[in-house]
Amino acid sequence: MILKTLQSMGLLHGYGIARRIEQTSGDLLSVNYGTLYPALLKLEQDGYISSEWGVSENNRKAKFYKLTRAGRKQLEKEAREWYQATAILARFLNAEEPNS
Amino acid sequence: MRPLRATWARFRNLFRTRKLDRDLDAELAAHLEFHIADNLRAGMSTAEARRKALIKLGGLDQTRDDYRGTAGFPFLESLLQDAQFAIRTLRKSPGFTAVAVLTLGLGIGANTGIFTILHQVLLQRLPVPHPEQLVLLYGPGPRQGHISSDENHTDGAESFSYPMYLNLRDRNEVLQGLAAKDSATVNLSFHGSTEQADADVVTGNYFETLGVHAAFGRTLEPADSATVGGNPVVVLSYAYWKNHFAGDLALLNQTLLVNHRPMTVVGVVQPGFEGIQRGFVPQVYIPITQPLSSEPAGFENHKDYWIKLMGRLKPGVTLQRAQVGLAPLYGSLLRDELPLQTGWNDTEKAQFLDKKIVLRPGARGRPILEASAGPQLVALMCLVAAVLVIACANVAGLLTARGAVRQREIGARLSLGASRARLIRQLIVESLLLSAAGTLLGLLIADFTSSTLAHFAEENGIATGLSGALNSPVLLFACALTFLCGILFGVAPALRTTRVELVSTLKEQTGTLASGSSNTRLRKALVVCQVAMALLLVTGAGAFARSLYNVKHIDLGLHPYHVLQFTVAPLLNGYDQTRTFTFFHALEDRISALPSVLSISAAQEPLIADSDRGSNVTVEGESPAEAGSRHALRNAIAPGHFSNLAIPLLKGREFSRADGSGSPEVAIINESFAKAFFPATDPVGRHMKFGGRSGTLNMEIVGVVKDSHHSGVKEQIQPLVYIPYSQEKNVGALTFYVRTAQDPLTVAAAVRHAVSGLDSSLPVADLRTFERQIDRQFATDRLIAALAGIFGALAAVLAAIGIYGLLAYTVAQRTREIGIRMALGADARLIVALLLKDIAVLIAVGVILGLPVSYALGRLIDSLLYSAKAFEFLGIAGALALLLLLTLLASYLPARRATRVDPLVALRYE
Repeated sequence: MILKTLQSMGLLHGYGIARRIEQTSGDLLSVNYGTLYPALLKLEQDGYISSEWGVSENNRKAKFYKLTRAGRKQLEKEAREWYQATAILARFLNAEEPNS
Repeated sequence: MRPLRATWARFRNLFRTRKLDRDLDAELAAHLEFHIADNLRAGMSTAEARRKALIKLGGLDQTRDDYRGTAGFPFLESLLQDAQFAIRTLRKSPGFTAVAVLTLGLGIGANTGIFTILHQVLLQRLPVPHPEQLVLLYGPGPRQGHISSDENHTDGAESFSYPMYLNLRDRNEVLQGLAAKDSATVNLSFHGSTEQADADVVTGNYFETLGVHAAFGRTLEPADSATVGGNPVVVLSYAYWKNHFAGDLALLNQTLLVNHRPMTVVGVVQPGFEGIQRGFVPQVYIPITQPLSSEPAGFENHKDYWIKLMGRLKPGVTLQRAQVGLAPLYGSLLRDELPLQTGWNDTEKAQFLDKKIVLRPGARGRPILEASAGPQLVALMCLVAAVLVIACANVAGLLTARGAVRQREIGARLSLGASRARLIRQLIVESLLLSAAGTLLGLLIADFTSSTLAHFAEENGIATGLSGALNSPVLLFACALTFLCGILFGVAPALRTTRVELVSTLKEQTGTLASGSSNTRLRKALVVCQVAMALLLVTGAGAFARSLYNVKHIDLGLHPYHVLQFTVAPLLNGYDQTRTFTFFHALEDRISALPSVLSISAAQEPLIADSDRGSNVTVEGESPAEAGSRHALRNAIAPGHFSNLAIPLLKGREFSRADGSGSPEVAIINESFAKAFFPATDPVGRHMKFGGRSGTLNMEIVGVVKDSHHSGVKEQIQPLVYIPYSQEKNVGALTFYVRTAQDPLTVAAAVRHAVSGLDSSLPVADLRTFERQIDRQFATDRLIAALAGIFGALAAVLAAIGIYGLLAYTVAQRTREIGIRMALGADARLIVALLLKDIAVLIAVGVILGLPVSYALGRLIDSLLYSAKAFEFLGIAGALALLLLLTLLASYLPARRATRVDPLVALRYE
């Protein structure tokens, strides 16, 4: 989700990512924003995103994250796998209906 | 790839936790501010906006903790914390730390030092590609002819004839290459100065077979030894080129005089390669077909066995398959050689034809040093390992004592919620740290030990080229030792210390007694172990000392004091026989004329130098069956040899100058020879000859001398025939013995001057006192006895300290009990008996456990002892007495303290 958000939004700071995820999910997903930061660190260590300090629109110093090339690939791969998994699941669910 | 990258990132973070924390704080602060600003825009009050934002963010500490967990390695970090804590606690008790580190340092240092040498002698493989493909060839079994051997206990099986080598090399199907070598000492002259150098004379394919290249120029090539006399070229070892020629590249293509023959330097061998014989490092390599003296080497002779073979297996061929593969070829070569063996019956012929070639692994090179020094090194390694065990036991004892003192601290930490596992881990980290500090100190000691050993080996002619440097396998060994020791002495005390009954510990009064007893049990076990090991070491030290005493008191049958010896080898400088004799006579005259020189004599085979020469002899009046079949040693000597060295003449006369090359041939025999060959008759006036029964008995026996040691201190004296050197063929070198009025070394310079006055290009070798020469013979015995003595003393002292510690601790613990007993009327003797009874039991158990171990070690070292047994009643009794004495000494102070306990004070003591 983080990767997708960064893909669509480009450069973004932590709060921005959290808000964006909440908005995209239509406020269905609501977690503590704090859990976001260890996840961001993990992604950075894996090399999927990179970060740098910058200045926000309202002149506040903040850390900005952006997607790397490896991150883009990883996103494509995970999206593909997800579609595949859901497609398989969907087929099962559809196939079972007539029988039940 | 990804996990690696993440690990690296985490690893880096270990060292910048502070920056990470700051960054996260800043990021979270920014986050809050954005959120608050949003909330304000949504119309909340400032306080409400802040509250909502904080709630949404969740627990800050938890976030931080998670973040750190992801950023680094939590396990490692806590380990680092443990280490930091351990360093702090260790620094708080410098006395304990110093003793522990010193004890461990000695133990680990001695082990690592001995291992450095052991590794080179027994384990290290040759620095060549695929050393596992190398094989050594042996041809055991009966044969006739001249055999020159340099390996012990092989009966010369390692030596082959040159024609045999050529056939094996060219007609085998299992080896990629087969090279041959021999060792030689040569006179090397360059720019007018001459000195002796150790040379390997090798076949041209030697370097190719080994896969060794040149650092500069080229190595030897097959063409260099294709014909006898072939290419007069020489290749230098890297170290020799570096040290003797200052690494001068201009030396390439220049001419050196090797035994007075010009040879061109064509290259320098790659650094690190030191020949294929550990302990004997050649300085130059010369093609084997170069004639090095006027005495021709046996290139055509099938019965001259002198070269040593090393081959490289073809890829995929195992040693066994190669051995089987060589058998038919070897068999057919033996059939060809059978007609050359004369005078044999059918059984002997069958035995000759039945001989098999034997291959042995050659990855570590030729096993000469391995055979001569290996058992000693293994014995030493066992001794130092025992020292290390004692050292570990001592440190474990210290730790346990410390654990008892720290009981309250541990109890407090346990009751505050620390898990026992975590505490144990922390204590073990502490012991590993101690062990690591011990290793650091130990490496210094190891470096000193191994350098001293290497130097000692070089000084005493045991081995050259051993290095005292600690290389990576040695460091690995030290690290393994560190870890092992840390665990060995750390685990039991850690388990013991953390097994605390919380309530009683915190209540303190009764605590010391309750938890003390289990501590004491562990310490008792440690003392038992120390006593057992100390017994082992003291027994060993005693055995080596007795052996050395025996060796030193062997009666050599000659008088070695005030004698200077040196060797000159004019033959190596191209002298012919007449010139050589003229030179020797002139030298004798010059040196006898020196003031303070009393007399001079000389011998072809140097005395007490592991060098001998022998042949079959035929004597007058022998039964035809025996004639020519028996063997005796021989030596060619100068006139006055026996009176010079104070070897008593029993019958007849000594040689004089009159016994020259033209005069009737004469011989002097030793007592053993007389007993063996002339049991019933007077040998003087009888005739004999060297060699088989054919031909005339050309020598007349003119004297009999008392037996004296000839080649070694530990040898069995054998029948020996002396002849005048001027009646011997091919006397290339003589070792002179100069008896002086005062310190023999004072004439050393005059002797050198006398030689160079006759021929300045002749080097003087082995110039030392005869006493020193004899000393070198039991250098190894001396070294081992000294080391075993040091280790034995160390072990005994450490064990005594262990006993003292335990007893002092028990007395302190039982002060109250002792006080009560005394108050009830027990007298001091009873108290002492009570305390010593415990110790006596421990010693007894230690001795009972130690005896079988000592017996096992005894079996190992018996072969190294001279007319002494490691495990004999007197030795064991002595060791026991020593240990008992030390125990008494160690018990004295604590026992006295116990008897001085004032019942009043004791009862209040808690």
